[in-house]
Amino acid sequence: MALLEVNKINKSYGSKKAMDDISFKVEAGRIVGLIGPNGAGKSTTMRAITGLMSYSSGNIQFDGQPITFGNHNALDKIGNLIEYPAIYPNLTALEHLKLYAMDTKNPADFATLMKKTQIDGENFGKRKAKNFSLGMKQRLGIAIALIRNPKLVILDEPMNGLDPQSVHDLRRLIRDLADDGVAFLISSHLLDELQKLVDDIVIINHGKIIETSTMTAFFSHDKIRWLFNTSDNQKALTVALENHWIADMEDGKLQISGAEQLQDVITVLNNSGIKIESLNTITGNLEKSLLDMLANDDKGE
Amino acid sequence: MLTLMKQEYYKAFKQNKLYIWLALSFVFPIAIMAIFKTQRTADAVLNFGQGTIYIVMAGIIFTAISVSQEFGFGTIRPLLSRRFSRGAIFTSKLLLNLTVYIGLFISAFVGTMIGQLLFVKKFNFADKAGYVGNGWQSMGTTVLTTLLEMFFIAALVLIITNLVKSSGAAIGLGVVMIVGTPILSSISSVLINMAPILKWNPFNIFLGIGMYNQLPHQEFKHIVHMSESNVIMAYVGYIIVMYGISYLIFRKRSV
Repeated sequence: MALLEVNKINKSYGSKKAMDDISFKVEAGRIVGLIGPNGAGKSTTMRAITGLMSYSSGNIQFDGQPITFGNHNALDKIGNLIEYPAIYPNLTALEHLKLYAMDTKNPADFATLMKKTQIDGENFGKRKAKNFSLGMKQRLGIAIALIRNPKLVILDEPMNGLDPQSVHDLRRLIRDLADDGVAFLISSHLLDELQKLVDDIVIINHGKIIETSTMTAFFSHDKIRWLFNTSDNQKALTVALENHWIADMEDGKLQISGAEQLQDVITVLNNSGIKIESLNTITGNLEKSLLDMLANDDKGE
Repeated sequence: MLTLMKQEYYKAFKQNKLYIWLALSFVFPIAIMAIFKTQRTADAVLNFGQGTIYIVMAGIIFTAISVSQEFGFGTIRPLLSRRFSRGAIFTSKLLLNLTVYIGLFISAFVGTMIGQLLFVKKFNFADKAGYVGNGWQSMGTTVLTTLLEMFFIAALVLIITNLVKSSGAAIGLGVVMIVGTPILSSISSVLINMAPILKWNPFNIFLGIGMYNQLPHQEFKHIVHMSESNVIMAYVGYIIVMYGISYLIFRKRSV
């Protein structure tokens, strides 16, 4: 059974559907990316899962327990950082952890958590949170989300305000926790970063799920393409088409896909007397694939 | 509930402003009696060196901020996305507020005692004072009526704070309720002149509680148009209804 099951939840504001039959699952130890444009319904969905918002129909189950606007029993094992970190300006980082740790009998070890989320440095110390930078607040927000040793962590834009090194470290922290069985539901506009991190994706547009897939399966839709620069690109294009591969010119280079093996293409071009000067392999790109998918979805409406 | 209370106290006592308010509550009666010779009287001692106005103001501001700052800091979401019910969270806030009110009274009481020892040495708490008995009894009545007044205004302030998610408007209304007696009195008179049943309007009841035990029964009835016991009952009724409305708004609010 999945750790989190969202089953056909609906929510409308007047005639506008904020959530339209939203359904997806999050398994233990999986990192799920909730992706979509602004206003698609990502934060609304996350708020429904954390019991902050009512929904008109459907149900949400976490670890076999229901989550509704009025029933929060299951939320004890869910950590969250939704939209911005929940920080009291007059408290230090350690005081925040002490405050939020009161919720649970078995909180995370403060020192370990502070080290993992990098809030243990000199910059933090006894400083009050009102003096923190955006990145420091974000790191503290993530530490707060982890304080209850949650089984599921919901992070909305967790990389906001973080420098490249911190983004890298956060990615590693999330991966380590996922390897230990913690599930993550993450929303971010930094698709390149998300692509490096998530196992599964849920794409949402206009309050409706338009795709749920593993990352691997999602990119298997995109054929691997090879970009060649040869001694005679025009002749190479003709040869490729004669072999029933998909080929065209892109920015003066020859793009080929549809062949079983790269070696097949190289052999055929060599046998045709064409010299290969450079070669790039192009794999799937989440940003491009997402934009194509959203464009198709919008066209279909 | 215990966890929620611990968290509320932890947050409150980590704020310097709470200590400042408590310290001012202590200093206020001493300062008033020290500065103004006219306030070196039994009446001033029984009213905490006129510190009751300060206590009500500070209590109301604290009440408004205790809710509005959760919206302002963005901490309302983690506060509500936990296993606790909204009712328990709301109650923990009310209990914290009550604790702060009591703290303000204790500080003011200690300050008043020092002020009395320094500036009103002749005053004896065992002597008859006011209409209710000796000095201690009169002071106790002041505490009770002031607390009731705070509950009433605090309930109103909570409704406004929960509606607009900001403390400014709520505190403004609270201040009007505290210092705007002539305005409230005028509104109440107009209402009662329109229909005698409107003597039950909240402004009249609020003004009535302010005069409780400060006037002879007949005079009280003449001004407020009802007996003290009716005023108390209506007052408690209004407080329950207003806290109920405030809770309903808090419970229904999407964040």
